[in-house]
Amino acid sequence: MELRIDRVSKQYKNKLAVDRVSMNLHEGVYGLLGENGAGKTSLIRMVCGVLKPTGGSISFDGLDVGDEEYRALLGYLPQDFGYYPEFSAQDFMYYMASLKGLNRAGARARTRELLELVSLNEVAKKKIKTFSGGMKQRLGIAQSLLNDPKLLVLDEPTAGLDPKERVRFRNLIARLGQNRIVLLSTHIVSDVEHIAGRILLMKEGRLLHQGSLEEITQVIQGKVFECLTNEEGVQALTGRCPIINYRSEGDKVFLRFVCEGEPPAGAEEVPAGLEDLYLYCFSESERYE
Amino acid sequence: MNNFWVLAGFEFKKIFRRKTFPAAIIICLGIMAVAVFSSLSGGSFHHSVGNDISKYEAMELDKAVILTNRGYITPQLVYRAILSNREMISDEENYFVNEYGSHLKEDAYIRYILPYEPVIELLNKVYAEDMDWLSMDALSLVYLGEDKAVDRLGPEQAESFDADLRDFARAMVFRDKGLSGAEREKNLELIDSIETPLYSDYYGGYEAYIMGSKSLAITVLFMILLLLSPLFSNEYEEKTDQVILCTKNGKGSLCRAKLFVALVVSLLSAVLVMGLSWLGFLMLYGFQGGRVNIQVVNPGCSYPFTLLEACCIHFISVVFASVLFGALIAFMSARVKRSTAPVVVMGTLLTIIPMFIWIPLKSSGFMYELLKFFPVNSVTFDFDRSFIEIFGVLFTPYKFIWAVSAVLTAAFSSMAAVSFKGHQTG
Repeated sequence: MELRIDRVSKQYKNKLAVDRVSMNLHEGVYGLLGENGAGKTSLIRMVCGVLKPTGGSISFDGLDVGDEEYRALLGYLPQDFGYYPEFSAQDFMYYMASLKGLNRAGARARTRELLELVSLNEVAKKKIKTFSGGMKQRLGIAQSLLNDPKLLVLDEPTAGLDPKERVRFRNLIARLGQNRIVLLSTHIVSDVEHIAGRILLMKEGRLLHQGSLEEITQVIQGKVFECLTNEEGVQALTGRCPIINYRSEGDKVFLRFVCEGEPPAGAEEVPAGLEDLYLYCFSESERYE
Repeated sequence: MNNFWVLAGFEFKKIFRRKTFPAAIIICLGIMAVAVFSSLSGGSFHHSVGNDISKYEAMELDKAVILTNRGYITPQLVYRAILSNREMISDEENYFVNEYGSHLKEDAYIRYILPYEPVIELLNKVYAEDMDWLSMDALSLVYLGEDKAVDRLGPEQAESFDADLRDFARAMVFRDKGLSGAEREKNLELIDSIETPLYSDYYGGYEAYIMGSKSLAITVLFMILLLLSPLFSNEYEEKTDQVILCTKNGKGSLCRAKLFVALVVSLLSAVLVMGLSWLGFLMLYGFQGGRVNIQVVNPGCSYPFTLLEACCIHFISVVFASVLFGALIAFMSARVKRSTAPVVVMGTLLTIIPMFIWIPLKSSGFMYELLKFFPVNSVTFDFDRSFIEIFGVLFTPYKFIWAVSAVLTAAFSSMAAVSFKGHQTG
């Protein structure tokens, strides 16, 4: 099972949203990280065949992204998509099931199973317009799983979910990644940290880093420090280093920061995490708020 | 068929559940009811003058009198009509005089003219001295002059009436300056094929339907516009395009299902609105009149049809125009980037603007014919004398418009499918 993305680019009028991105994905969960405008959604849309690349190619096990067979293997939860407000959750699922080629009996069975999985079985016959944002998100996740996809693309799947639901879905996604490719795009670093076997870091349309958590955080290992300092120390560091964490502790301030040069006296080196890398990579433009 | 029927069912469901659906149905039913009942309430019936009776009762009484002479317009009937008119005008008691002049009394009209009304109106047109007073509109030919030709007719016209009618129709052909030689020939052939004696009957229901048909057909077009504008664009507007276009059947079966639904909605809108209105008019006025020749209403018409045949041809024209319009709206809906609003605006403009463009046949035959292809114009009762000439071959306009509409429907549907499949999200 292989998703091959080969030098894929997307050029809008005067903006290069995705710039010659190449990667080969195999079974497992892939976390796609990047700030707003990094090109994540454009890349995801191209992988799902709803946006045409300006250049390059995308294929899954030899099937081109434009093939019907490719789409038959795909499950997609867009970041911000609409529902038919006058449809009930059940109707919406039946509709999506018929779009995905399930027969009537299969659609019924799968709908029942998935609505139960996302805890919407009680409200299956209620109109979607009465649903909260979280309920709609759960319905979106359920529809993406209808055809038991081999390639599951989730754009911000846990947005709008409460912490308990988020943890539940994180675990579900991790489980799903065992026998398929799951491409997960999110702003929530901890989601990726917990479930993604491999992490893809995008910046300005390019793939900046890719690898496992350990591999990817190697970039800043030895550069993350923590210290307890006063306001003057904070002033001295702000603007020089990306501050990862700031917490007042009495008349002192606890700081966690990334420092490429000589750290201030008293700072203690700590193991780097994904959040450190993310903030390090994406705070350059705001240097360093 | 990859869940084609299931998907088509869901597409119907989407249309039925939109707020525009009940609004469109209510507006449409309202217009149909107004068209049917206003034709009666706005009509002028001879028996209503001086009698305290409803318009419906007056119409029924008028109809009963006219029906006494239903049948073929034989020389005997023409003769009786001329005699009856002569008897009426010879008695001054049948007239009253006021400051505006001498006027026929209503009871005299009912007694002498009404039993022969279709025949006498026909005689007044066929034997009109000044043809400049004739005005052709839709199916009808109206004589606008004050002179009544029947007043000066004698019994000899009863015998020559059928031949005179054909001569009149031929004269109308030669008066039409925009016709080519081939078109004239074709018209003369058609006139020769008109069967005489003509058949006369009470045709109030058909007349009311013909009068109201244009506004009803425009209602159908607006109904189609309201129901089909969101067909594709709503998916873009509501951002459901992202999930449906990446599914197995999203670019194939769904597209076909949407276009099928567009076709069915257009077809049903036309059939139901026009069919029910037609039925409504006939139920109100009576089902008589189908056998009446067009020439009884418009002796200048070259086509050898009865009113029933003419109405059927018009009905089919409305169906073709509606289906074409539905495909056009579907194409525009698939073509827009996001919102449904531009589809509604463009559809409205496409419906309204061609109504106000009129180019005389003698100015430009091409433009005159081209305008007929716009759905709003092709739903007009149009049995005029022009033909469509391609490489020297003459085509009957309504048949050609049907064929072109079918081809354009297929073309717009294909373009809608291509646009939807190629739609880019974001």
